[in-house]
Amino acid sequence: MNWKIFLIVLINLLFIVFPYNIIGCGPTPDTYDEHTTFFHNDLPRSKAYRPFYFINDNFLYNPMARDTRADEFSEEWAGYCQHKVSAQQAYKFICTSDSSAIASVVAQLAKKQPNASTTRLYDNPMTSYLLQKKDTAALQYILFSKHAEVYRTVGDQSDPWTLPVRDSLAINQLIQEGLKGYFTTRNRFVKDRYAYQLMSLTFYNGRNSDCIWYGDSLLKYNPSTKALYSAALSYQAGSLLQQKRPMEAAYTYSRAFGISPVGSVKNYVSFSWIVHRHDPTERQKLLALCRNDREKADLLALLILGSNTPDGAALKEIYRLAPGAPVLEVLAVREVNKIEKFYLTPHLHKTPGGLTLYTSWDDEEDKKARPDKWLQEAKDLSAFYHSASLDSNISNKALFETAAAYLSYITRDYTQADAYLDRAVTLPASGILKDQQALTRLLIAINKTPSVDEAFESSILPSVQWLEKKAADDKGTTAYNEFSRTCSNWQQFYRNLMTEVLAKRYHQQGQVYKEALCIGNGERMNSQTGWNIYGYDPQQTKGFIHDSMSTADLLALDGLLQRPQKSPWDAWLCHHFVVTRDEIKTTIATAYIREYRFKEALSWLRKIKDPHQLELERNPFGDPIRDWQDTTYSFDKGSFDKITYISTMASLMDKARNKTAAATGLYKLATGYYNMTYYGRAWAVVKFYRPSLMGHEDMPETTAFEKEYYNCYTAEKYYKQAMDASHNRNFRARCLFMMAKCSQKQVKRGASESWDHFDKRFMYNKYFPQLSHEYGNTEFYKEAFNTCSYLRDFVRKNK
Amino acid sequence: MDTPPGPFFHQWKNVSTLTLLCLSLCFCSCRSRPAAPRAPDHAFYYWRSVFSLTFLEKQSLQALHVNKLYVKFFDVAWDPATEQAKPIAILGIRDTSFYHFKVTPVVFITNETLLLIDTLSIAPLAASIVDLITQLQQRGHLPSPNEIQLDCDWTAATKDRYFALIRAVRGWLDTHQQKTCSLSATIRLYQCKYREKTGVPPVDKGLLMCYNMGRLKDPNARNSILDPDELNKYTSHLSSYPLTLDVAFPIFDWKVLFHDQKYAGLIEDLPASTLHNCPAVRIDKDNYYSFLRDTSLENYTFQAGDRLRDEQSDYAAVSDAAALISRQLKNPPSTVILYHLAPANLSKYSTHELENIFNRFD
Repeated sequence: MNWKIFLIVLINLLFIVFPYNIIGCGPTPDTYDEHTTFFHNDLPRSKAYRPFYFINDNFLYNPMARDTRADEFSEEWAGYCQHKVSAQQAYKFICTSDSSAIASVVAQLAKKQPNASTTRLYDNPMTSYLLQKKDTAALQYILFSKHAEVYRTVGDQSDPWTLPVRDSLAINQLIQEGLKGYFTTRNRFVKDRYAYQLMSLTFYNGRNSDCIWYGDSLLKYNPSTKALYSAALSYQAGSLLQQKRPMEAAYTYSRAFGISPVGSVKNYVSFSWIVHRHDPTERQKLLALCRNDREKADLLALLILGSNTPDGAALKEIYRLAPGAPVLEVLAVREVNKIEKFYLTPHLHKTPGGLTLYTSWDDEEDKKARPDKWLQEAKDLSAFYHSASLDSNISNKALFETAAAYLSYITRDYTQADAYLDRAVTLPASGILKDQQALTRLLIAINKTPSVDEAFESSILPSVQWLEKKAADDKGTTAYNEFSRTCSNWQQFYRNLMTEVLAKRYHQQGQVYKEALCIGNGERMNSQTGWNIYGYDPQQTKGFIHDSMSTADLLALDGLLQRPQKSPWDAWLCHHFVVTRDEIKTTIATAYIREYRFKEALSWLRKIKDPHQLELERNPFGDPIRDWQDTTYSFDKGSFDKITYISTMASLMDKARNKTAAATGLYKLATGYYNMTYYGRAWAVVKFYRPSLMGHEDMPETTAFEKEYYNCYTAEKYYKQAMDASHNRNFRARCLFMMAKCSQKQVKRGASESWDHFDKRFMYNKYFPQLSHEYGNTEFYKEAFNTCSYLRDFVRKNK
Repeated sequence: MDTPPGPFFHQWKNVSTLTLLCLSLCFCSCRSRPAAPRAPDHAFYYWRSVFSLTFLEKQSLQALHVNKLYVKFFDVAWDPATEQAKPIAILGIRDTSFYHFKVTPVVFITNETLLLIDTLSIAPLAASIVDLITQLQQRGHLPSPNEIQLDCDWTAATKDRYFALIRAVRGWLDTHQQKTCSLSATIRLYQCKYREKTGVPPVDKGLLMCYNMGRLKDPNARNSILDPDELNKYTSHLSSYPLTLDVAFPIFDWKVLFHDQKYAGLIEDLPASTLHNCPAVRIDKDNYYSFLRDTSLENYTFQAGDRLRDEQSDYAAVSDAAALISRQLKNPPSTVILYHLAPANLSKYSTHELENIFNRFD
């Protein structure tokens, strides 16, 4: 039994029968690495909007985003305690201590000399602070909130497996106590907290009208308690929705969103469920509810935060209404990222050269209009961002001017881009923004230079090395919104620059060898940092040099790699190339073999040090009747290598040219040619990968090599010469059969040809009539007839 | 001297013999007839997180003689912030019509939870699940359930943990005097067919989900909800499945969105009429729509080149599926369930059609 075949079949069967959804999951795609980008999404100063950085492929942001209310409230308490208490200490005092511990502090208030050390919270500075201040109101409130906590969810602190107690009578009692507390104290900070508690208790108790009323009457806005105010507004919005007042609810959610980022994802999600974003009538109704320009701006911002369409007009409107709105920065960056997604990525995809790292849309008539739309958007926004950067109301002018410069780069107005950037670098900017400016400068330089020559290479080398270092140092799996990252922004930028920008410039200049080096450098970052972009094939450089480079290109590459004196740029480019010298030599040899230049190929094969690169698994001159490449026959015993194979071919070719070849020599030559086709047993001398499932209509035949590789013309020619040179009928039968095999490969199914029609043509081999007629009584014919089902079918059908 | 028996004796003897003979004949002719098979219960899945029946739903349930509801009490998902399993979408009860039905709590557990949970946390998780079900039962003033169902699309990687969780839930139920409460688990068709790989969950019975059998994310698939050709591939092994099986059939629909030939999500409330009336939409063959231009419809935006696959559970397909399954099952199911109860789903079928689906197993 052939165990090898058995195992192969068994393994294949297992893969066939094993359902797709049991096979273990592959790596999770990085949600932020789905389009070409060079514009860092984390440029906005406020990090509160990180959950809303542009992602095209998700409907909703992650609803499991962490509730930060407890943190925000703790900050407010720390402020209340005049920062003599840290936020962590306030958190510990209020959120993690139980009500009896708080009660022990409250009990001290009755004493003339309150003593923090006798309380259970003696080690928390907040205890001392509140006792020193004799802040009865605050302590009573905190105790009240601990009692109320049982009846409402309090973010992460509640045990998710214990249902909140919904004792409506007990909650009503608490509401009464809360109202008493509210009206008793004059402490505005505490009053607002009672109002918040009252709104949440009435919300959870189904007293929606009361919740709304308390929000309107009891809650007062205070800049130092924005988080509380925003959280309270969310309850009011929820009550409005329960009362089937969706427009008011949506408006209130937008107010809550605009006032503080606490609960921003929840507010956004709730808002999104209510509104129809693209309904202009509804938009007007919502805007009509807004009391001032800032509210209108916040509402418009919420409407476009989930959008992946051009929103320049809305952005300008938000700017007009509230140029100081913090959300403006993230909206501005989002628009740039959208333009990268919908214009820059497909534009680069269509530019020859380099690699395509991201899929793009198909080519359809109507889609051709889209790039123009986004290009116009980019031009408009570039001008707008520049003018915004001149506005004194804009605090982060550098961001807008840098964005203007970057968009001008995208629209290929490099003069404008440089002008904007020259101004941007003079403006105050954060570290990350300065880095963005440096990257933008580099992009402009690479794109505007008429040619990437040695002088230019030398000028950009420090910048590219800087970018390389930033990428290597950026471990950055910054998880925005709980999505995991598999590569950092700077790693993306470096990889994209090398493979999608620089490589393409070299391609334009016909310097394919440098194009390969750029691709290899882009891939290098992948393997060095262990970062693995989902779908990014680490073998792409090898694939490029195997299939996209001519012999001349490969020689140029090798020449540069082994040149002792290199320019600093070339030295840097070559130093980290991911493909070994032996692999390059193998590729050069392969390129020569493809051209049938066996002597040149031999000279390169002999330079290869790694013996594994030269091994062949099967006898390259074996000629079984069936094309079973993986079967081993008796003539496969022994070892075979490329050098012996190709030197034999070279020798046989010489004799064929000199017309000194015997029939058997010509046959062997033909078999050697046959075996270096797709159907042969030594395809590895001309290809690095052979998919086994290509049908007769799938073969790409754009080059002379591919035509030969899939059609066996040369083999057929030499089989015929062998046949003509012999008088041995058995031998001639064999030659004719091999010619039939070659000609069979040339029968291709037409695009609109039916399978029935194709099958008929495929089966009627042009050599079979002669074979069966003239050689039907030979020993070989009998062997072929018994082995080859095509021949049998032909004979039976034509009897 | 013996007195010969008188004529009465002979008469009595004859009568007795005759009587005995008749009685014997009667006993011989009696044979135990098998009890008429009990018709399966009619049931619906209730999958919304607030229990509140509309008038249409109440009417339909009554007309279809539905006496059971499989109500999702909560999901168990993985919280990456706390690195623990936690319940989400906990059921809220707003309706007393609960009391007219036998309610089976269903808990959906994400496969991700089982992948990430520590094995030592499985037993506490089981306890938490049973405890939360009990809390919800008490809150809703419902009697203790006769059955609890676990729903999880487990894989080979999570099989052991899932089965351990099931055993732990069973153990917890037994410990807390709920021994009469049976435990069931949903079984997907492929899990039925490839049970050597996927295993058979250690439950009292299974619920065979006769839907979601196709390749949802395949842009060339026909209908991932219910495809007769796909169904045929999975049903030949049903009769030998080692668990008693109830069955569930779909009555829902959705549209599958593809962007750049990649799966981009599900859309559930976009009527076909909206697509048909939109000039930017091209109706392709089969059940596909293509967007010719960037478009906004309802609350969704689509880009030029996006494609929608409209997947329906039309009556004929569901009815045929029910017929096929009924022939393949070794024993008739005790319950036939439709997924899921919602006004939009009910309005697509006549009562007669839904009755027919149930009646396939009567």
